[in-house]
Amino acid sequence: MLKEAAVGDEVLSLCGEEIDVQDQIYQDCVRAYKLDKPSFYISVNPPFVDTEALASVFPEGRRSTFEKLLYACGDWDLVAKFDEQINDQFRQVEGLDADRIIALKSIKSTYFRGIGLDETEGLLERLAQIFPLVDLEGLNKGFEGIKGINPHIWQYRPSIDFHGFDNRFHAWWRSAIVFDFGQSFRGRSVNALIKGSVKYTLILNLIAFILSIITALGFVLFVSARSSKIQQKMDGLSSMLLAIPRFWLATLLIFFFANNILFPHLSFFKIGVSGATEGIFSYFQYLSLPIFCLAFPIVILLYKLLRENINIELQKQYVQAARARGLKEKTIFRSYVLPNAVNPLLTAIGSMVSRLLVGSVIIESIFFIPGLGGLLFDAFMSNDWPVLYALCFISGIMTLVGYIISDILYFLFDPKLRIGGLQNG
Amino acid sequence: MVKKYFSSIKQLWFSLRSSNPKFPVRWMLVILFVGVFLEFLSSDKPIVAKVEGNWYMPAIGNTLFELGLNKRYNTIRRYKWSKHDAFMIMPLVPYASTSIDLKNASYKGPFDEQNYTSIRYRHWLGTDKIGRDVLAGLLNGCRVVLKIIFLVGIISGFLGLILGGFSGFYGDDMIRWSLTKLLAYFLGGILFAYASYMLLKLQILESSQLDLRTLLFAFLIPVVGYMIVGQLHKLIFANKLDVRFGIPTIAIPLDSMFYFVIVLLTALPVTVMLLAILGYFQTPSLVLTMSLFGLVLWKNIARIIRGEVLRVKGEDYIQAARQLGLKSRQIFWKHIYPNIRKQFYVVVATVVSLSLLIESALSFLGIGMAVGEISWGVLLNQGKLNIAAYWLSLFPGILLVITVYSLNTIAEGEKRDN
Repeated sequence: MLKEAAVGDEVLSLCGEEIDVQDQIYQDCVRAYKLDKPSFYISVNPPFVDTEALASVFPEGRRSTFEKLLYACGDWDLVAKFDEQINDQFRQVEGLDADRIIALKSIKSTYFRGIGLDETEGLLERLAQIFPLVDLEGLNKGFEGIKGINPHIWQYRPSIDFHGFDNRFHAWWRSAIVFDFGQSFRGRSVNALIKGSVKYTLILNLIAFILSIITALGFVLFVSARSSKIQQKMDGLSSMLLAIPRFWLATLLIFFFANNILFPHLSFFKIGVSGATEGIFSYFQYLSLPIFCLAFPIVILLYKLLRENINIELQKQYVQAARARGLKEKTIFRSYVLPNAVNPLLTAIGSMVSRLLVGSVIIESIFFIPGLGGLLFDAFMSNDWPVLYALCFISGIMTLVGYIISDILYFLFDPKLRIGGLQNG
Repeated sequence: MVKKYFSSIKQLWFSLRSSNPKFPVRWMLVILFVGVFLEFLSSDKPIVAKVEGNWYMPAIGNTLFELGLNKRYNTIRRYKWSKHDAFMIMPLVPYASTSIDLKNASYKGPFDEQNYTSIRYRHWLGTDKIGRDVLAGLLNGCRVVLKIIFLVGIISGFLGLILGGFSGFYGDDMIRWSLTKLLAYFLGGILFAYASYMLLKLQILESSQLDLRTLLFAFLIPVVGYMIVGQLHKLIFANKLDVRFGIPTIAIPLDSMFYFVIVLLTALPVTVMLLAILGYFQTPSLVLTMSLFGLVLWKNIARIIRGEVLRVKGEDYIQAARQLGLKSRQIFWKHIYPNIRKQFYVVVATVVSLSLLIESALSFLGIGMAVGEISWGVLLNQGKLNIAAYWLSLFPGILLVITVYSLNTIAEGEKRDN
């Protein structure tokens, strides 16, 4: 029954040519991903290792077996010959019945799993049972040769190989510099994946960022106008709120607002992003919870920073001078203290640009938003290295952009840094 | 005689005891207590039991047994204590964080009707999908927090203090090496690195996994090798051949080198970097993740320590110590370190609270913890899978917030006192 229900053509998968075709496709893929090239410009290895030739041995398990035999005997030619012979033997399926082909396939898969000397010996015995009529003397001789050599420690001395520009590192950087990250392991090109998801992250983070700056400034203005007792209490509260992690906040918000258990009438918040077909209002309905979660820690952090800076600035002498001149507290605060207190904030804004991606990793995976953060998480979970590298690259560039942005902001807000200001001394 | 000043730990304890508000320090002490005495508070085995005339302590028996202190434990190892009616004293929470209670599986809440024989066996804070007790998980989380604090604190604190402190102290021009020394160390470095690499590679090829002893050897080769190279250089070149042939000396730009590394580490956000690194490891574990945290987060400490050392370096007493002919190592440890010690504790506390947050975030996403290990982040992760089971996300979240708040407040208080 099970056999009938099984998917795939058994005969085809047992047939010899199919193995060759599979190998061909495999080799093509390997070449397309440039996996048969050495990984860096130079490599330091014992002199008996030919790094470029070793890199082109595929699949990976076969290379592992090759390497194990090679390091055990220290003679490239012997191992290469043995490897070639045994792979030739794997291909000779003519005149074998189905049972033997299956046994041969199992032996091949064992060899391709990466085995050592002892296991290879057992493998040869099994091979001899399958081909009782064929003379396997060459194979056995090769193996005896490999087993017989006990390399001197001097053979493991370092020797440096240069591979020129034809390596994986160079290839990756050459395409990454023009933002071409190749194919992801899940079929589509990395660029298409990123292009498809970057808009969600951008919309989400831009709105959250602008809203949080406005809110933080508003809070600071509100609190600073109150009595010192309230100020102290709010500052204490803010350091407690700072300890609330985004993801916990998100879980709580979903629990309270996005289900029907506690507040059935308040469950108008929807989570996740749909198309913008339902008009701008529904768009915000979908985004409100993620944006709140993204903005919350930023608001608290900015509030704390601003308050600290204001407290420092209020101690300074120019404030006393302004008071002595009889200016109103409100005027002093708005036109003297606040502009000075904002300056250190600009660095924080710059460094936050670099963390946008991280913040959205968690938020996007909770709210199922198909943005860059979700992409990063998926890439991690499925070991999708091209996507992971590309996102790391982009993240590094975002850090750079953050620094540049904070420099520009400094230039705009701090008159001391303007060229005219410098020239005037 | 000058009165001996307090030792590092004593000073820390005094300043913690007098800190205000009192709550954060007390909370951290509670965490310390629970983390250390976890088995006496939550375990599915009794603390003390009498079986066939012999007294046993099964709760900590396994630990003692593994240490080789308790041979008798082997006889009662496989007992099912819940079905056993010998004399025994159960811990406060009669469940371990990993013990599965199938009778109360599939998300039993704190107020739901539960299936238990005695009120002692009630799950006061509910259960998760396969019936593991949430309260036991919370208590186990305290131990995880302790592990994080110690591992991350020690690794990143050590690296940050040494690298940041030295790069600030020696600057770009205080270490001058002759060309021969530079050459010897450079070639020696390549050779030793290759030797350890070869050792590890042969070991991996032979048994396809890393042996701890080989790892130790691979670490010792460069250390011992560098010592030998240094001594050899002293014997042959220093003051002899170097002087005779007038070989020039070169300033080692230690500060620039370390700062370059720090900038490189800052280029990527910590979480992205950890995601990229953790992808290489097939079997995650707490110790591995925490060690990676330490190896990534030392940059935060090093940057601040470097600034502090630069501040202290210009003081008069350092100049005086130099004029008195003290060695630079003595100046660093006797005169500079005691003056930056407090800032060091502050920044370690902030780094530890940061790593607590990152760890729980990663566990929340299901990354970085070994399967079966319960921490607050893992409980939150289960809470994410079933939003309606609020007890899975509410309680660990509250504990996490309080702990992070406590660490932040302690650090802030220390900073304010300076």
